[in-house]
Amino acid sequence: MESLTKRILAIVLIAVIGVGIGVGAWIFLAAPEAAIKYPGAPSGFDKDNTIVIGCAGDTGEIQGDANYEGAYFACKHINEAGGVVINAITYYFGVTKEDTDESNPNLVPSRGVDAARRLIYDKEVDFAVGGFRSEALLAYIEEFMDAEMIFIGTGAATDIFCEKVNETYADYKWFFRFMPINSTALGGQILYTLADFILNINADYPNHDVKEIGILAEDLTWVTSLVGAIKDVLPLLTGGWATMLPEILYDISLSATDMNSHLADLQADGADIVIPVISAQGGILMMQQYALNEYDYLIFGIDVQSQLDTYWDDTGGDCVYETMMQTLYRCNKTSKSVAFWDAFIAQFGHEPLYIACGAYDAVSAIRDAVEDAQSLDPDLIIPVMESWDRSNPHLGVAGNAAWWPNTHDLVAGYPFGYTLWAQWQPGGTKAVVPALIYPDVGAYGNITTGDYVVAPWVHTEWS
Amino acid sequence: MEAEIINFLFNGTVNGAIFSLIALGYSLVYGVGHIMNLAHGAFFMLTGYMLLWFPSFLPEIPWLIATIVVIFVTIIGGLAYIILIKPLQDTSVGVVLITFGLAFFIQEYVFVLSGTTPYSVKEFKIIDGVTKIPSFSFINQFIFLIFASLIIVSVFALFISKSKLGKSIRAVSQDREAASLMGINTNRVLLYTLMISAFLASIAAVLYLPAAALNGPSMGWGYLTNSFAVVILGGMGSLVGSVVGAYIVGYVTSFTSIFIPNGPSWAHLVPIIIIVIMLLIRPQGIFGKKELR
Amino acid sequence: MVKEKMKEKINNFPGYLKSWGTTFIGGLTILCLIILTVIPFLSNDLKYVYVFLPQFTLAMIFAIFAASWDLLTGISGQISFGHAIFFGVAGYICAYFIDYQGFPTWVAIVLGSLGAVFFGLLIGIPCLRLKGPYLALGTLAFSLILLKLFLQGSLAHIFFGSEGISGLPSLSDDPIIEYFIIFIFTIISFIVIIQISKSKLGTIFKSIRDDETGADASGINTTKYKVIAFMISAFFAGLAGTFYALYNTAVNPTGNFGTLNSFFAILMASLGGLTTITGAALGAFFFIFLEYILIEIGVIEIGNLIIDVSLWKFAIFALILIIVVRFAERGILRPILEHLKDLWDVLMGR
Repeated sequence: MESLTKRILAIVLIAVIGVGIGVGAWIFLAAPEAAIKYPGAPSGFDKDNTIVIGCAGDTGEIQGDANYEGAYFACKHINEAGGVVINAITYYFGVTKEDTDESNPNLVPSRGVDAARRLIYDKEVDFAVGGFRSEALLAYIEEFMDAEMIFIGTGAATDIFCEKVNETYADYKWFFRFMPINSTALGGQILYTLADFILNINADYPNHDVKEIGILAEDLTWVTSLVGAIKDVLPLLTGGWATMLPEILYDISLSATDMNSHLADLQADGADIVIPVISAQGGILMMQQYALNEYDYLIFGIDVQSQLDTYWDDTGGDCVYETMMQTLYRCNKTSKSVAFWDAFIAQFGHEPLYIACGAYDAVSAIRDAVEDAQSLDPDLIIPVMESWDRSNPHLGVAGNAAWWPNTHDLVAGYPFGYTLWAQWQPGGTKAVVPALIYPDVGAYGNITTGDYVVAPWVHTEWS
Repeated sequence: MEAEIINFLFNGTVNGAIFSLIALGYSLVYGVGHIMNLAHGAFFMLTGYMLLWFPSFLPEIPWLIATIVVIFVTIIGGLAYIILIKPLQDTSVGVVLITFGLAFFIQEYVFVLSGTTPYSVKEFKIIDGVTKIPSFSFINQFIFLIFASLIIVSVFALFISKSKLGKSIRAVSQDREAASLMGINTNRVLLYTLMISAFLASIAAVLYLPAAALNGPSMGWGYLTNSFAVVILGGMGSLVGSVVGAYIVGYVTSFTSIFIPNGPSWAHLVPIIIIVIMLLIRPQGIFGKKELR
Repeated sequence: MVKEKMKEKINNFPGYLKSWGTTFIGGLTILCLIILTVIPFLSNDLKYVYVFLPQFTLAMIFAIFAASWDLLTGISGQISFGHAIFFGVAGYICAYFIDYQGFPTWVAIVLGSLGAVFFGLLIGIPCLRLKGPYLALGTLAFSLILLKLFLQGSLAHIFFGSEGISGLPSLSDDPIIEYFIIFIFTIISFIVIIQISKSKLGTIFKSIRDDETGADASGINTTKYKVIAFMISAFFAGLAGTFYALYNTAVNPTGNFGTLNSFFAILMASLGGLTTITGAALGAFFFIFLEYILIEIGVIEIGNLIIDVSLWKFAIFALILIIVVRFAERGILRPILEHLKDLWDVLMGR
């Protein structure tokens, strides 16, 4: 008798568990409305007529959040301005994000792939923007291309994406790059700026020859062609004046003592200017050791982390006198830049990172392309975006977006895609300093906001 | 050339000083309890981030905060033993998994709070500034680190050989069963060992990181790998070996970085190559015991 | 003699299958297989097919990987912390032959797996002298060396640099077909690995694990068998590695050689239960779906308290991991099976 009760109990238990799993799965599959935000859209608008932008980035990390903020802000502006009218129907913009976990040092590429699929098939976005780490983006970009969805790159600099567009246009034509200019072009911008800078600073210091140039770079793929270009071309551009010291390519997991020994090495070699090419954590180590030891050379190059407004506090002010590429700062880069900058800070309470500028421009461009094409069909939108060439650029906040034919890559050079050069100056302010690649006075007023300041200990040494 | 040699010697010594502090604790725990503590690097990393988090709600007295942090991490080390490691210590894979889980958790916790952005904690420097000679400038905090490390290692050696607890630790590491038959509470000894090891890692972080930087939540793994190299070189469980191994690894890394062409990108491979070579030539290490278990 | 035995076995196979199917383990296995066969057809919602279903594919890939680790460590007692070597090498070889040599995908998969076997030999021989934690560290060191070499931009002309190889074709554009390809390979791999562990070879492996000196004394060439264990394990790890490369359509140093991959295998196999082989599959599914569920939960709002689970997901993940490892020393497979067995017995009225 007892065993029968037990049996019945067991059957009931199994039935309950089975039903529970079934209900759970059903709730799971008939998932509640995916969280999509419609910033600035008038209440009561028709949610069917929305254009959803998907942000692929590392949520919780600066780069991923910047991407989302930029896209969100653009959607807000578009919606507040009344959306976009396609065939007499008003569409508003919505924005959503998925975590690709790409900033994780222990990268798991399948997470990016998974996030891309969620954007495409779960949240059913119409366009996607994002990407920061090349190797992660290289994996999940395929998902967007397979789904024939326009994807606009806002963070990865490697040439390879646009080379792919060029090589197999039919497979990759949905990819465009809004930010940043590719690494080869970055090399060009460094070269022209530095060659001019070296010759100018030499004129200022008659008692010292500024000619020994060192390179301190991460040993990663995106760096190699850039470093090679600097090494080969910089001496030529300065008419044989500048001499290159052996470059230091370091392991990205370096420690402070390693960094100190590299910097001391450069000092011992008699470096006058050191060009950092750094995207990861090395920058803070470099500036900390540099400021502490007061090495008598100038730091002038790429340090991605240094673009952040929090960098001054993060380094405890040690980044002072560092000069680096800065995509956008509060200056008249284009007619929209200053207004965007101020509005962004008012909205989010901090400065926009370059990825945020890229995402803002990307979403604004999508709006304009959709309006011109009067359709959401990528096949009609792509020709509109391709028509933005050097004679007909698309005005953005971070530059005039124009594409090279066939590659969907940004045209580099004033007034299209170019970088500003900014210096951290005493007191924690950042100034856009004069550089050859852009005029002192731009089409919309002053671009530069300050003069270059030579670090005082270097000034003493050189005078 | 002179500058390069000074550079090599100074940075090699700093590396050795810091590796010896970290590896000593690691080696001690392995030697006494055969516990492969993968969370050791995480203790180091956590200390650094706690320095970063603390000042917001405590009076800014650096040495006080640093002391509190070190005590806190030491307690975490003890709790890790009591709650996680002790119940699993009979299965070597279990210990590895649980300490990996702990390290992973600490890393992700730090990640949620601080992200992967690097931070400076230079306000915790004990001596600021540099000492310059014509060809080189020495960072004062690193000079202090070298001496502090030597003193701590010596005190530690005295403690192990003279104190009562030190004697019990040695007894347990030589023969656990015999020690427990002699009335030594081996679990308590292991608890103290783990706390000492967390304490050493934490002290290393407090001395070193203010002159370096917080390099992201995953920075502990690099130091863990270096500890492996040090311990394999010196012999697992051999304390003298750990210190000697630490300085060898430190100098070799520094040498590669400065004198070998393309060295900077190979420097961090060197400790790993040392692991492989030592394992193949002399697995018991320079000072290790003969048997391999 | 052997041939006859085989013949007899084959002739008796349907009957054998039938009697096996009625046993508890057999019935459970068949039930699982049926569920896994039916799952792709339950819904043709896009999210279901493109997001939910690939989680199974991924879990099965990692199941093969974890099972291969279990064969080496659980069955043969050779602790490996560097299983990512085989996983990554195979992925890279596969990617290289597809992208640079234009080989057909399947040829590249075979070449990748064989390349992993070669590396099994290469790593296995020098590691023969090492035992326990020393072997663990040795294999870990090998995997770190490979990771760092592949990561260097200045060696990109040899090792493809930090960005690896991309733009590979996936196994199939249809996730359902991809699912079934991996499903079939998973079944085959598990049958082979389980049979190996039950065969004479498996007994030898176990005897080496339990008492190497004893095995040596009883005339077993332990050196040979240890290398064989390494090679067999490397083959399956490599197979999983090639599938993983094709699943992502790209390979890169951290993603494929990363130490994390080695730990994934260890965690999955140990979560399931060492030496059980099938436990590796359970561990892999547990692991992958735990992450999936945490992502799916997203943001929880309880009154004013907003918990962004997606931000905390890896911390929660680590916490659950710690709890499981702490309280299920022998893995979760055995206790689950025991409880199911009890239930089964109750149902059968025993």
